[in-house]
Amino acid sequence: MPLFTTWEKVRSDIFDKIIHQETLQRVLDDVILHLNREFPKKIIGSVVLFENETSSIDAISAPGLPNVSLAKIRAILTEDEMAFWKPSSFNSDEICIEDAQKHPYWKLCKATFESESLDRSLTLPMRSKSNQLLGLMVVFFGENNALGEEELCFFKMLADILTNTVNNFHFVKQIEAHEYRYGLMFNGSPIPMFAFDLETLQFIDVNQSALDKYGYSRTEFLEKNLLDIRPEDERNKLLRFLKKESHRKHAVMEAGVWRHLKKNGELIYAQVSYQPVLIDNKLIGYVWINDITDQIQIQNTLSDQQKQLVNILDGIPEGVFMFTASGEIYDINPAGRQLLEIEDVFPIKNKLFVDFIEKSDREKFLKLLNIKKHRFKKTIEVALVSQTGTKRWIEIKVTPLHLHDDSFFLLAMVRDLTNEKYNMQMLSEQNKALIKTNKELDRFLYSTSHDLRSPLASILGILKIIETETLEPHTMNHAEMIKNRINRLDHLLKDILSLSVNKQHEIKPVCIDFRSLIDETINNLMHVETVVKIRFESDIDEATPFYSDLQRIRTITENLIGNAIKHHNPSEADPFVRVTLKTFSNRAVLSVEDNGIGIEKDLQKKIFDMFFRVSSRTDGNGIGLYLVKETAKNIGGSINVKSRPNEGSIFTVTLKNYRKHATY
Amino acid sequence: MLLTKTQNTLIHIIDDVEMDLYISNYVIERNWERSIVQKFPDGLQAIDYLHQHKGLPEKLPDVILLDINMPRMNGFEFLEAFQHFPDSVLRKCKIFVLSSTFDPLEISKAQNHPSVKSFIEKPISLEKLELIKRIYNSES
Repeated sequence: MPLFTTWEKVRSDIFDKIIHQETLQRVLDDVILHLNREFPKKIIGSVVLFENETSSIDAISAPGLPNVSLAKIRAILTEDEMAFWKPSSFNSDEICIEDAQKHPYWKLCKATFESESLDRSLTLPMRSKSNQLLGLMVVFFGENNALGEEELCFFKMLADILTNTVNNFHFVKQIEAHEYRYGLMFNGSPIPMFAFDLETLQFIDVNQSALDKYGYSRTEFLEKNLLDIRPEDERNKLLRFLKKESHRKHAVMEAGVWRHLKKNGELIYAQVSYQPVLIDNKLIGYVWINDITDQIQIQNTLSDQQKQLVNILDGIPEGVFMFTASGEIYDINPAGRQLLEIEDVFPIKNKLFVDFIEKSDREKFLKLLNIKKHRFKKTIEVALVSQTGTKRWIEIKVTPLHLHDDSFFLLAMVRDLTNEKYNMQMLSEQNKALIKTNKELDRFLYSTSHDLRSPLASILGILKIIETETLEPHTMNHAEMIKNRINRLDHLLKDILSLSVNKQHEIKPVCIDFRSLIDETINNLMHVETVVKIRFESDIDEATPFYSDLQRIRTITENLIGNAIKHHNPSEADPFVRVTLKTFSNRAVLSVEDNGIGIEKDLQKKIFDMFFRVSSRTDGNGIGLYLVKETAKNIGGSINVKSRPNEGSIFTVTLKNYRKHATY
Repeated sequence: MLLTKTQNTLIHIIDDVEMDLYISNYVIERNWERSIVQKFPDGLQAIDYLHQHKGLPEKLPDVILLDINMPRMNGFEFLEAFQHFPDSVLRKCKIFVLSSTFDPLEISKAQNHPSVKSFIEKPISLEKLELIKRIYNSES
């Protein structure tokens, strides 16, 4: 390879290394190594650099020589030998030492020199522009391979290049870095960036992305300093941060997340990367930021939601259990811990929840855990046995829980049913007792009214005998008075009995002949003497056969017609009772109308209550209308009233047609 | 049969209430000519009598006034037992239920019983006795 090519190669290598920001030692090592390999003759090169002409050695590059290191040379070389390197020894442009044994390296690398037959050395001084000795370039060669004129010239040129490299290394490197960042990363970068003076904190440069982000114009921005884009409460923190020595080193560092202020007052969360660079003896801080406001907000929202969820879980009365897919306990909320009567989840973590379930219910629970197969929510009721042995009835609803990291849990909502069960049991017992009491009451009513009726009949019998036999008008009169009272009592007993009959006897639907029923009822009541002057009208349309319970229908018609008679208006010239009936396929509507004394509006609802009487003077026991209402209800009917005082009343009963259920 | 008509009418009153027995007896004695009343305090004693006299037609009652609500054997139990007597007995004795009940079920049960001629509500009166007589005479 021609020397020129080698020289070119060495020079481009140096440039390459500098561009890639290699250390000076590395640049020199590479150059020398390259030279050792590529030079046409066998040579070994080395470079020694001095520190500020104090004649102490700053760096040695001699990759061709075995284990040559600065520390080794310093340790081994004697005072005299060290004197060899003294800059004062190198006044001339070049020194060619015939005998390499005089060179300080000889002692260290004797074997190499001898085996390679390198017995001569050429030393070239490297001087700065101000003629200051920076270092020496030394080439070892053999006597048989003496260097020619051309080769000497090559080494001189090489020494010049190395001198320049050493001379400008720091400067070149900084310019490189500066320009690199500036050119490639700064102006056109989509990442918001700015530079500031580390002393004054004044902004000295900013890119378009940063201007867009903060909303300032370039001029506005450059008039501000680093503190101006911070909220008040973060300024001191920033100043403390900048004072730290570690932050002044020339390395890129992640400065963490800071809150920055935009022109419109909005705050953003900025993840800040930062590098101080020394340019023209000025420390410049380069900052590029990543706006993570959105992420922070999502995080905040998420953690707010988490907090809310935790609050809910802590507060709800339901136990919430988290199981692994195999039913191991993972976490339990406070209500759940109370159910198990434990202070803390930790001691029972990873234990199987099924162990807390009553043995007979375990299979039921294990089936529930197979929820993966059927993802819908399912509820079961089982008995839970707490850590201390208390048994509770619980309801468990299990929901599969797929987390985004692919983990799978079961979420069980557990409700304590113990009280509910207990209450239900109490309720059903009370209900049974009530039903029993009611039945007993009805039986009591039935047998009492029966038993009372028997002596009444006896008394009436005797009265009839007296009536037929006495010739005394007074006695006759007295007997009549007793009979009236007895009849009244008899009627009451009949009503009471009908009440219990209404409840106890089953409904036996038969086809009702309303016409004869109503005629019969009116005829039976005709015996009462006041009835004589009352006019009876009936309008009966029973074209559609109507089926219901005859006895109950009779109770209703008797009472309604009886009431109409009882409450007729004595001062009315033409008192009447009008019975209207029409049957339909599904019902019958019966109404009994009179022009009697009527009922006050506010009393109309009360008249159907048991034992309600309009006044103590009215003739009645307060059961009749209650009996009608209850009886109508009992056979699927209802009753209502329209009435005006001194004008009359209309009672209308709607009755269910039991056509389909008719027995005959 | 023709003989009995010319003879006395034997009437059995079955009732546990002393006063009701008295009333029925009083009304019958005064209003039913040639009648003989025999009183029984419950169904069982009346059935016993029928057992003892089932072969003696002249000793069998022509009319029985039967109460329902009685101890030992009530009216319905009596009717049940009565069913098993020979036809001659069933034909001879005309049973009328005389009761103070107003339970519609009991009334219809009594009315519909094959051995019962009619249901009469207590207390007995002259009109009701006439009704019984009428039915008895038409059936005999």
